[in-house]
Amino acid sequence: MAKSIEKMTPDEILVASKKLFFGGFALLPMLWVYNILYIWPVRNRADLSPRVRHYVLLSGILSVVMFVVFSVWFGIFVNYRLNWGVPGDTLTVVLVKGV
Amino acid sequence: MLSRVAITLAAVCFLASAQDTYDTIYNDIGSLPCVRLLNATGYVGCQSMAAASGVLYRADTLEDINQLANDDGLRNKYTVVIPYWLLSSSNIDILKSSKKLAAILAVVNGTDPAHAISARPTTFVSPDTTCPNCEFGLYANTPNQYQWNPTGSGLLFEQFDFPIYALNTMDTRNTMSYASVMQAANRNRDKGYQDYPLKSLQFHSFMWGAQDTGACLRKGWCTPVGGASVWSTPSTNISYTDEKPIIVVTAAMDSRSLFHDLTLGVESSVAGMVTVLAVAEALSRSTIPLDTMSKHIVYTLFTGEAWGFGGSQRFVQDITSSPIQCEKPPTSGSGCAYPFYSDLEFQRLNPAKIEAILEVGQIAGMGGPGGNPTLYAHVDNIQEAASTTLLNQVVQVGANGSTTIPLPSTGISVQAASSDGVKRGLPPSSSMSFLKSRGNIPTVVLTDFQKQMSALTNHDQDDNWSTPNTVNLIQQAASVISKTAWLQAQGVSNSTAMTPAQTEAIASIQVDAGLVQDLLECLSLNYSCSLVDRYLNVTASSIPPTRLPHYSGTLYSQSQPFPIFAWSFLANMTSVKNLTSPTPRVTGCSSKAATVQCNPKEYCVGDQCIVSLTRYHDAYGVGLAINSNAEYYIKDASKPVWTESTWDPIGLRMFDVTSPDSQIAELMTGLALTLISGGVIWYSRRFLKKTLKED
Repeated sequence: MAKSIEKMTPDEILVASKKLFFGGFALLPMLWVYNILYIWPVRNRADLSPRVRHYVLLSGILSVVMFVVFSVWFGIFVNYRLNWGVPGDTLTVVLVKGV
Repeated sequence: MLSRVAITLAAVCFLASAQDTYDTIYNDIGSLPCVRLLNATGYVGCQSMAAASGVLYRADTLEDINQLANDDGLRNKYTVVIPYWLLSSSNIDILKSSKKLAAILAVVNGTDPAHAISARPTTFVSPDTTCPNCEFGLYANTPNQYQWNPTGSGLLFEQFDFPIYALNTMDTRNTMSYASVMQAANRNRDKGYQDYPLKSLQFHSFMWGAQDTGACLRKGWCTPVGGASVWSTPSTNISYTDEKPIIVVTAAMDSRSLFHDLTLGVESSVAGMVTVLAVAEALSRSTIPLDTMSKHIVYTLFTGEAWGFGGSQRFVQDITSSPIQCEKPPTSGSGCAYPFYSDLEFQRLNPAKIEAILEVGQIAGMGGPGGNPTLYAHVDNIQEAASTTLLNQVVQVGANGSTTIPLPSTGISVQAASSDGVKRGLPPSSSMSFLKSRGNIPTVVLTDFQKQMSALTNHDQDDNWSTPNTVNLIQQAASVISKTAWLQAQGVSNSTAMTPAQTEAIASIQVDAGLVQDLLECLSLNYSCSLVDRYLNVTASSIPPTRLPHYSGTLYSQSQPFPIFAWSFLANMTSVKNLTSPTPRVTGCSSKAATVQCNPKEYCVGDQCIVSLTRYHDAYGVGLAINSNAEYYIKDASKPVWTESTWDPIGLRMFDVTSPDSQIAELMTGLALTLISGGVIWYSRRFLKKTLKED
């Protein structure tokens, strides 16, 4: 069991936040959301490195950007997939009958 | 040990009663559905994404439909049972906009007084468009095409996202279904549709295909509509290079309607098919054998004509693209595997040699304006000079009272359709496919109408025939066509200047009215009749077929009773007869312990070995093609590409429902009980923890 965030030293928190931030670039954008949620309880601790705040802020911005990108793609795909013919079928995982 | 036995017994009893439980709840009903079909731009017909269920509601008149729409006391979804003649766009819109519609049951024939013949309106409305298949016909690119079916409602081309089924008392199973449904609907009505529990009907009608033919063929969710056309000729030695002209006698075999299991199509096409079969029989009596004449006679019966002239267009396309380079020969039988042809003998026909086309269109005399039955001869109005001689010959032959060319005394005259001065051109017909390829072929289409097609075109209910009118019309048309074809094939231009042998021969051509009646009865009322039995032994099957629908079906996916019968009949009529030394034909080839084997070049038809040039031809939309992997694809989307959607098993079942209010009350009670029990458990746990801790 990992230590709870309240019991971690500022260095350990910095390392965790850094790993979560750079891990998100490995096509894992959920890690950015998790970065915010994980660091949230200790965000105002006085002995925290200011770099942690930067990592969390950047993670937040990138999360919002990815959310917008995914929402837009979802809207386009769902509404226009049928009009794309063969590419639309290749992109679809489960072809729903009757539509 | 005892408990194990008890448990096993209980399990067995439970399993055994699962079906009983189903039967106590549900009552399965036989069904005649409306299905979804697709074309190049979209789809038509009925689809139901989820199982639709609604309380049975009887609506016998338009007032009842309006009452359902306006009654605010009815808050459920309803399965509306209406007579077939109330099925129109506007009525369906009223029901849809009331937001109370789950599904529609249209009664085509029933014993209830509201569905009886006396309750039917006297005027019919054809569900087809105002000019059926004209977008694929000869005049498709001319402005202001003549509309041959001006009263057509276009119901066949609408899209419905709810199920529409038919009820028809045409056999035992369907009569029982009708009785169950009407009994349930009457009970509901007696309870005022308010006194729950009421009887409800659920439809399973899920169609896989969507969007259009291209998308659905790609995904393998639909099959092309079509079947097998039949062509036949007494000239068994016909070849592409024999330089002999060809006379074509043609008709359509299939029809369409909203409910494919009920397609009767007698006026729409079958009467024409019967005429061509009668012509073949009459001409086979000619004392001058047909295969000795200077011209060939070819009979063609096309399937898929209701779907953009699928059969005739494909036939014309194939004969004009001879010779065929077959890249992959078939694994068995005749034809070619790629490019796919089920038979290659059509290459013997030379389209440049077609010198006349005689077609029989709608000929049953039903659904018209009334009056004395008359036959009308239509010709093309773009290249009308080409058809003048043929038209005059047809009218002359049809004029009663000619002594050299006797006709049966039906009192039916033949007139040119333009006798009232208006040149309307050809009605939608198979000959258009030939004329699109070469426009100057003399062509005459014989029909029972002059100005507009029958109001029964592609109707489910009354696209039927009547005695003696239909039989007389067919007999007259067959006589006129057979004698005209004979005169054309002999090259006789002046019927008064015939040799005695010719006069005797043409007098020997008699159309058998009894045969016409038998054919009509077999093809529309009861397929297990003695005429069909002679060829196909239908009465020996476990469930002898009775009334068979005339929808062409989907390509190669089911047996095609009408083309098979047409093939057998035409093969018999056109088979080589040796009149000089009449030796009886070898019989016994179809007996179970086959006493006789026919030669390789012979066919066993009606228990006899015969030599005949009668072949099938694939019929499906000419815009579709088959690739080297035996898959269908669209080759040309501007041509007909009709396909039928695959569907999940269709089903109809009846059960009781309680009122929506009581269902909500049940749900609320259940939720409340859940919350209360959850609360009780939580509080008791806390209480017990406290008490036990104190101890």
